Amino acid sequence: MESEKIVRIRNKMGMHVRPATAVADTARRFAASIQIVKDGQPVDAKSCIELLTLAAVQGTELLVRAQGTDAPSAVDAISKLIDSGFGEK
Amino acid sequence: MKVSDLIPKKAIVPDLKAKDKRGVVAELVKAVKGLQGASAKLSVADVTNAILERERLGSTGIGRGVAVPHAKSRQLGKVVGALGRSKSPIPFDAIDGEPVDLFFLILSPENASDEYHQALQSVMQVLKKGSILSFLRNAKGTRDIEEILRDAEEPIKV
Repeated sequence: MESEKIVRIRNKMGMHVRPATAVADTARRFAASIQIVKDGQPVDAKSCIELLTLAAVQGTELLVRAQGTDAPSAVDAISKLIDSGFGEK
Repeated sequence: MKVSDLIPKKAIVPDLKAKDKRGVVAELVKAVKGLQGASAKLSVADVTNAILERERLGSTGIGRGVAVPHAKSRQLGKVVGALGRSKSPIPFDAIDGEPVDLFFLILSPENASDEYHQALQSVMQVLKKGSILSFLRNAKGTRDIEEILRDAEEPIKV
């Protein structure tokens, strides 16, 4: 199963170390393969290091994409996390 | 900002002596003190505490044995960094539960958020390259580590 959703970085500091860790942490709960895509470049959502190379600042548009049986839940959980601004302003 | 500019030779510690989180952080901050851009008034204790305070909010152990401890300090004129390697990995509450043996310290002046993020991004770009962690782990000493970081940032010549 494949699932994807477009999200936008809302919080002022963007996806810095703490949010990237939260995304990777969330992604690892799922069996699905999960990618975050920025400007056509995919990175592994389960890798904090790769997430940090995105330099996803406030306003950046990202595609959350997953493949596997729990792909829809994975995309849902990660999208909610990003949409909420990672709990930051 | 290039990683090789962020982390000069003096700030590479290929064999950390400390065996715990606080010790490693202090050892790295000592390495930064005395670098260009770091005031001689820099208090190792104060900066170490600031870094550990940040760690309490959430570990900078980002997985694969790597940590990126960081803090701001008024005693800095620019973003400075250090790289420490431990022969025996250290518990760091990392995201993947694994101990850490490669520490990239980044210290920045107050109100230098952009520069800090650029520095972090440069480090991440280098770490993203395949096998770089193995090379860093197997490097003999400071000079080899320097070369590995420099080569990693060279554009590929065709």
